[in-house]
Amino acid sequence: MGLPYIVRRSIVYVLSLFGGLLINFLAPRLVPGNPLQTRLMELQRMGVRVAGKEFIEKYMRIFGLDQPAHIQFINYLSSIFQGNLGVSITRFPAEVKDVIAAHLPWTLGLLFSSYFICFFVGVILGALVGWKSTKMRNIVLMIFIVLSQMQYYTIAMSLIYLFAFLFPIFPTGSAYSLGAKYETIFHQLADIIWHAFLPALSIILIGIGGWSLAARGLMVSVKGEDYLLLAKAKGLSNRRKFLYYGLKNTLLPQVTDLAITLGFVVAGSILVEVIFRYPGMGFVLYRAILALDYPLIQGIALMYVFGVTTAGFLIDLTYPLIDPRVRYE
Amino acid sequence: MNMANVKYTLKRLSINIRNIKENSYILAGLCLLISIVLFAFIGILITPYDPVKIGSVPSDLPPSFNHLLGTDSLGRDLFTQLCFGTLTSLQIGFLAGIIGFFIALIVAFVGGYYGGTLDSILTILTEVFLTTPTLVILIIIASVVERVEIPIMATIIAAFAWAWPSKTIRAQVLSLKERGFIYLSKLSGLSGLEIIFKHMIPNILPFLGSYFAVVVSAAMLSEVGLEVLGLGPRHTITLGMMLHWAMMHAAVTRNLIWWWLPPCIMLFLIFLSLFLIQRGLDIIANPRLKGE
Repeated sequence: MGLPYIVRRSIVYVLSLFGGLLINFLAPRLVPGNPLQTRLMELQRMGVRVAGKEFIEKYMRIFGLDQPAHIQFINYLSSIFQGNLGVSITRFPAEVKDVIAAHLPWTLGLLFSSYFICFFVGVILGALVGWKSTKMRNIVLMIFIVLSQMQYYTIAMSLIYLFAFLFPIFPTGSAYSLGAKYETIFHQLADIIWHAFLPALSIILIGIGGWSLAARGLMVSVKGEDYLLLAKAKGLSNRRKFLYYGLKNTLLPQVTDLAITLGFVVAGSILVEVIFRYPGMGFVLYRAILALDYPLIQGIALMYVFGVTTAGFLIDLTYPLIDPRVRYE
Repeated sequence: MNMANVKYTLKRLSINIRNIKENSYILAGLCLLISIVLFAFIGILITPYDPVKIGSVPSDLPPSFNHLLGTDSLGRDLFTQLCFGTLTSLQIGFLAGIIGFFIALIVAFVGGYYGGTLDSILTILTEVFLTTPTLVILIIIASVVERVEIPIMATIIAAFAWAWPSKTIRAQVLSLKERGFIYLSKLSGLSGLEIIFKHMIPNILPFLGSYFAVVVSAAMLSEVGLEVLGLGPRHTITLGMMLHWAMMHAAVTRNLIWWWLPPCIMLFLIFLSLFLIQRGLDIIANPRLKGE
C-alpha cells in the first residue's frame, strides 16, 4: 500500500466527506427540471401552506443557482463550511441548522447509550458462552443467531405491541411526557429514560446477536493461546483468568468493528426513531421526506454522513493507542 | 471455461453435496427460499383482488375466509399485498444483489490480481464506500428521483452494496495469487483473464456464492429501509411499503396485527433463508467452521 496507515485513513476520511457533499450537491441538480420549484408548486396546488416565492428567492440567493456548476459547487462548499445549510420549506423561516440543533441531542443520547450498552453486554455475553461449555450453549447460540437476523422494524413494532399496547408498561412513542411538571431533575431524567427504554432496547436487541457471536468466536481462539496456559500454570482463579486474560483479549479486537458497524446502527436508529416517533434527527428526516422538504432532508443527511465518518475515523485512529499489539505501518 | 474444468468444479461440488452434515444449512435455506417464492406465486394466482388499488375492498377487516389476512385502512386486501410484495421485494433484492456482486467481483479481481496504483485507488475507493452510511446516501438520492421504478431502485442500491464483499474477495484473490498452481499457469503462458476465469474463480466458487448471498441480503436491507421511510416504488407494493403504510396508519396501536406482523415475519424468513445459504457455502469454503 505504500502510504502510512494514518495518511491513508485520513485520505479515506476526507474522500468520504467529500463524496457525501458531492452527492448532496449533484443529486437534486442531475434530476431534470427544478425539483424544488415543482414540489413547491405541487404543494401549493394541494393547498398546503408553504413558503412560496419568498423562499425560492432566498434559496436562489443563498446558493446562486444561476451560476456555472463548478462555481456553484465552490459556493456550496463554502456556505456549508460556514454552517449554512439553507432554510426549511415546511418550517419556514426556520434555518435547517437550527432544526438539526434542536433534535440532535435526542439522537445522540439514544444512539450512544444503546450502542455502548449493546457492545459491552453483547461482548461479555458472547465471551461467557465461549468460555464455558455448558448445555445451555446451543440454546443461547440459537437465540443469538435468530436475533442477528432480526430487523429493526420487526423488533420495534413487536416491542410496541407487547410492552406498550398489550401490556401498557411503556409509552408507545415520543421522548418525554408532554406538558409534565417535574419536581426534580431526577424525575425528568426518569421520564426520559422511561420513554427511551423501548427504542434503546430495539437497537440493543438487534446488535447484541452479532457482537456475541463474534466475541464467542474470538474467545474460543483465545482459549487456545499460550498466555492462558501460563495463567493456568500460575494457578490463577477462574474469575481472574476470564476477566484479565480472556475477556480483555476478546474485547479489544472488536473495537475496530465499532467503526464498521456504526453506519448500520445509525441507519437502524433512523428507522427506530420513526417507528417510536422519537423526536431525534431520524424522525425529522422522515417527516421531511414525507413533506418533500429538500433542504431539511439534505441538511440532516449531511449531518449523518459527517457524524458517522468522523466517529469512524476517530475510532480507527485511537485503536492503536488502546491495543499496543496493533502497529499500523 | 473448458469442459474438464467444469467437470472438475462439479466433482468438487458433488463431493461436498454428499456430505449432508455440511450442507444441511444450504438445503434448509434453499427449501425455505423456494417455498417462500412458491407461496407468493400461488397466492397471486388464486387471489381475486388488486394489491395496490385503493378502496377495492372494505377497509380494516380482520382475517376471514374471503380475506385471509384481512384488509388495510386504505381498502386493500393484505394477503394479496403480502404475495405481491414478497415477489417485488425479492426482485429488487436479487437484481440489486446481482449488479452489486458484479461490481464487487470486477473491483476485487482487477485490484487484487493486477495490483499497482490501480489497486491502491480501488482499495481507497472501497474504504470510502465502507465508511459512508449507505442508507443516508440512498435517502439523498431516492428523495430526488421523481418516479422510483424497480430497476432504478435496484441500480441505486447496488451502487452502494458492493464495498464489503469487494474487500473480502480481494483478500482471497491476494492469497490465491501466491499459490503454486497460479505461478505455474503464469509460467505456462496463460493470460491474466484466463487464469482468473479458469483457475481462480472455480477455486473460490463456494466463497463467492456465500458473498453473493451477503450482497443480496445487504441490498434487501437497504431496500426495506428506504421503503419503510416512504421512498419505495409508488405504483407497486413491496414488503417495506406494506410496513410503511402500516406505520402511517398506526396499525400497531390500533390492534391491526394482521397488517404489520405478516410482512415482518416474511422479511425475517427471507433474511433467514439467505443467511442459511450463506452459512452453508461458508462452511464448504472454509471447513474449519464446521464445528461451530
